[in-house]
Amino acid sequence: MTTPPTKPTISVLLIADSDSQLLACEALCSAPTERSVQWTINVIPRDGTPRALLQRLAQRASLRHQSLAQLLRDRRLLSVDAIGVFLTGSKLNDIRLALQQERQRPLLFCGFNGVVLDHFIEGVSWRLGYDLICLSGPRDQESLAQLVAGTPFAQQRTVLTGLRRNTPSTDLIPLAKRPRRLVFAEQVIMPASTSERARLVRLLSDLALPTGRC
Amino acid sequence: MTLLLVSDGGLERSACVLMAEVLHQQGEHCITAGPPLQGHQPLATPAPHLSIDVQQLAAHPLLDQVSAIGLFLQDPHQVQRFIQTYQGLCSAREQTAATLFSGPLVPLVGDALIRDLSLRLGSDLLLVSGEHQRRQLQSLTFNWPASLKLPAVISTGFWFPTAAPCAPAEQPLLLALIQKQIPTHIGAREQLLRQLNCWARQRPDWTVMLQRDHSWDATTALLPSDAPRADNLVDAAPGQLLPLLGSCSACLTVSSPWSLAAMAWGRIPIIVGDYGIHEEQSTSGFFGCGAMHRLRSIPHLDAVNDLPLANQAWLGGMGAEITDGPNRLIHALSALERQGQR
Repeated sequence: MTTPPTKPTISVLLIADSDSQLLACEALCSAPTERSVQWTINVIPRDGTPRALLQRLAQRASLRHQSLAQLLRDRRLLSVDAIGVFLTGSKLNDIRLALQQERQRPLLFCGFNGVVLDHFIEGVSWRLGYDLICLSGPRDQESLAQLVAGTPFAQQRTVLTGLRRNTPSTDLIPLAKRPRRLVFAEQVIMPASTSERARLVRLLSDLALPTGRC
Repeated sequence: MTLLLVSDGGLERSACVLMAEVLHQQGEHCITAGPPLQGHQPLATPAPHLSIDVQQLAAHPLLDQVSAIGLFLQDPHQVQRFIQTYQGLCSAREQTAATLFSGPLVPLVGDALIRDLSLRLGSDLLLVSGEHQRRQLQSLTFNWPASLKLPAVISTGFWFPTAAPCAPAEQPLLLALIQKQIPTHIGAREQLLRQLNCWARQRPDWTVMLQRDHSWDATTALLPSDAPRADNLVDAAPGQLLPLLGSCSACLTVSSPWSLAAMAWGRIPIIVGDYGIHEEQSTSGFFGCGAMHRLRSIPHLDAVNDLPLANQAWLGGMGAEITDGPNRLIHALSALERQGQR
């Protein structure tokens, strides 16, 4: 009886800057994989990145802290099997352009930052030409297929990686026993106008009023 | 069937007049209505049958005699307002409202398409340009709750005639479609005009025609006065847009929808790619057109002759493959009428 050959380890470098993109990287590194993966994450330094997140990432991957300019000059960039880029538009382009000049380069993949509510076409236009684009769900996959049909990018490869950023907790208190509390997730830019934000606060305030007083 | 076609802008008016002509040939009675257009117009369009302000029209007795009302207004908020007023009046008078149809006429995609739809939800029938728009709307609305009543959606093709009004001129002509607010970057429009002036000076055998795609008044000059102007750089006279689109060798713009006419009529399109794919510049709709070029990639005007025509698969999906739009409209209106009778 022969033992099946062990699949070799692959090395993947993930590049991200904002905390939400780093959470996406954490989710990728934490998911079980068919092949053994040696993860490295380059956290582009910026103010306000939560220390707890960096500590968690350090348990999953080797961390580097180079700026984009330093990173693009670093020859180690070419020694990995694949590079996942989780950055905004023009930076995605910079990395693709810098690496496509190399005769032998790692595979390049990229993703979107969370659920894509708008500006999908702009987002796609920055990402085309990557070897693989990670998408959140079938809606985005269908939209992309419609967009690139009949264009030179009709063969663009995509993969659904979902939106899950962390594993659901297994020790949840049953709903009936939980404190009666509504958590509102405030966003920096949505809604954008002061009047809309004021209306939102009023709506939340009305919700908080005891029944009968609304 | 008596149809009332309401418009308030040059593009919309020309689309309604063309639609009315075709429908009239098919035996339908069509009335065009709307306010008179102000200022110089890029298109030579006849006055509507009924010259009236749009908000006054909502309460006009003529509306009791029509079976369907087509609303083609520049600002879709005005469509929403008209529908609310008209349906409110019908309800107060206990009268059945005529079937309402509406659409952006130009092919929208992505965010612009869904934003436009959200303002036209009160219509019974939505007209979109191509199959691409119809499919996108299907994908974007597939899981909407039934309580959010969606209008029926049909694609009716482009808003301009299928055939060009004339053949290309013998002397090479570059038609530049100048937009009112795009490109939005400060000084970008002037820079584009300077580039056109420079190209014109380099190649005196070409004519470069500056054509606004919007209404204008005679006092505003296009080109900055500091630059010496090439003799072959010419401002288009009012009413010349369609003949110029037909006679040009190539048509350049950042994102004017009229460039689609040049594409459909087989002229060389140049969509200025220097501003990228951006909602703000309305360039997202040209994703896939195969005609986006950076200005610096065109060394001189003779190089324009080597540029490709528009991506025909893309153009077809945007509306070029549909040539029986008014017919489709009549079928859809008849189907809605039958549904209402049941």
